Amino acid sequence: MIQPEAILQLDNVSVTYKRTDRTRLTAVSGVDLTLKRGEILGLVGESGCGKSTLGKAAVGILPTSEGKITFDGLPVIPLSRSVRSKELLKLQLIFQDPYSSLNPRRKIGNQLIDGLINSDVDNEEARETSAKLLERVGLPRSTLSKYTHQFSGGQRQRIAIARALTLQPQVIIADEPISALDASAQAQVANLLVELVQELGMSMVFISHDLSVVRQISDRTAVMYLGKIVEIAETEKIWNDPRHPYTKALIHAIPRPDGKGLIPLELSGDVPDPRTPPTGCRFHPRCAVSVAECTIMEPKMSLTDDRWSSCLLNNELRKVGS
Amino acid sequence: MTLLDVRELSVQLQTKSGFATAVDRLSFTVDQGEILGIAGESGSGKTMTALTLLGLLPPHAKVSGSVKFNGQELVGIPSKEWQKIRGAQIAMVFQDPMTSLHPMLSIKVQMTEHMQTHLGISHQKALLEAEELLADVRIPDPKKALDSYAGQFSGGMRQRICIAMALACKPELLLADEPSTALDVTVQAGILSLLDRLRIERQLSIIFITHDLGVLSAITDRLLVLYAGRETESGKTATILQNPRHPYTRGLLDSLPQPESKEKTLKSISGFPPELGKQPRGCAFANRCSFTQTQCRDIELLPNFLSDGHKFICTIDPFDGQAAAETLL
Repeated sequence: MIQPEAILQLDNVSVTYKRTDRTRLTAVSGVDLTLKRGEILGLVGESGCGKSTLGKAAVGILPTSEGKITFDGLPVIPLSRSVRSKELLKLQLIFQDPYSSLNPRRKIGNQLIDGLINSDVDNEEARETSAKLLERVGLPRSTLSKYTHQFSGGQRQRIAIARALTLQPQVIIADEPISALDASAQAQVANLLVELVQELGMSMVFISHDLSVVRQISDRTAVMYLGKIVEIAETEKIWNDPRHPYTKALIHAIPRPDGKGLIPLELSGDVPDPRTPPTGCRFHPRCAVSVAECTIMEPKMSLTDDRWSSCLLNNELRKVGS
Repeated sequence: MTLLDVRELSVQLQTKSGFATAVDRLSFTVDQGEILGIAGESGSGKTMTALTLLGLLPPHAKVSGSVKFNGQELVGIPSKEWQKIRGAQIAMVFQDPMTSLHPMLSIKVQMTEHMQTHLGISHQKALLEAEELLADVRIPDPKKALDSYAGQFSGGMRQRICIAMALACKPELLLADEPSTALDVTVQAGILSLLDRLRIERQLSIIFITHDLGVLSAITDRLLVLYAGRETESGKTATILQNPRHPYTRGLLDSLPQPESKEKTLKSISGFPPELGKQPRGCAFANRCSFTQTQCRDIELLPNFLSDGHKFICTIDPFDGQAAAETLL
């Protein structure tokens, strides 16, 4: 069922990679996720949890092995050799590393107008639109005739953002857009994205491993672990009252610049190999509060006390009255 | 006891347009068993400072000033002398454990080679010591790990191996250049507690370089904040983070996400740091600072000394208790 306020909806989406050794790796496993109109949704988790795969599948760069993705009422089909329908071009992705997502051998202007050329505008108009977008992201017009190596990381990411905006997207999926940048550039680029989303009435999925940035800018936060969403809620609720043990562990691991000299709590162990996920709850080998049932019963995303989480102790095994 | 004493260290690098100053008259000390944090953005000279301490500067770099390590002067010593110090008495852990380990050599080969060279021990003995070191940095099944390759470990485990490798020749000083930046927070926490334990157990001195003030708050005793190759503020970590006096330090702290704030945007320092070789006269931060006055650009800046070793270099001092009260009036 399509929810009315949803602009992008993922229903039971799984993504499986076929590996050269013929094993299969399910990086995203049965994810339901909704991006509401005008919303910034943060998606957090450790590296290897499948958050980038989920982002790429959501725009159709990666094919899904199961499930359905709907963008503004239309099914998102994987990229192919045929021309992508105009409607689906309103769904755009911004990559993590502007050092590799821009072509070093082509002028920036040419890279920006690529998207516009197929959309019935002439070259002159396309250049004008691109120049305006560059100005909007804080770069001079002269950028059009330059190459990427002439810019710093923060400036390159601005160029990548301008390129994503050429087709006036309604939804942006930003995959770790600031993690390759310097500290002061991080704040500037994150702010730019928030401003653009608000100003142009877009919606955004902001994928990041940096929880404190997600806390600042996103309306809701989804926490992902080993291919599954384990908790989702309004960002403030996630932070002030995390319900899933994994969310708690993530929040406690963040060092705080308060000068108190406290070393944050470590979450022992690594993210398990997704080819052989643990039985029962996927988080149980690292969980501080797991019980015997966690090793056999698989938790489902359920609503308890108005909060969505997938933890047996919160939901299935919850003792009434406790 | 002071292990490292750096005085008026300047490093100039050769560029197409002549020599450019990357490190500008820097002075600091590191005591035995102490962790000094060096904070700053890229281009602030923090990595160049570390490379100077290892004698690994690019060719034709000019170094002036003094670096005394255990009483021995390191500036100007020949490369033969460096070989006895580098990796043995002063060791380094790099940012990216994905690239600082050799992908095609087993961990065994990478861990024992420098032990045999520096410590003059047999291969057998080096293997035993390597196994102990891996166990000490909490690598599960160290015997098996020795026969494995870098690609078989996760990022956190690789960084632990790099740390074990750096410790192999029992250095007194460890330089850690952004050692946890490439890792997840959950894994980073483990690396931080490992380094802190090594400091206590081995009386190891560490220079911890990062732009992450949260990490520096967790693990360092003292802080040195660099901007464009120059010191802007230094002192005890707690003092600086709780009461920063230099506008740049305050800017860095303010640009971190503010949990209490209802604002959706992050504060940021506008503009960019000056390019290498284009540092202005006077205060290098003047172009980005909101308190700049004429005197910032003209005079030779003098440091302000406060109690408890807290020092900052700013002529305006906008965050002085009195000055703040005056602006309010």
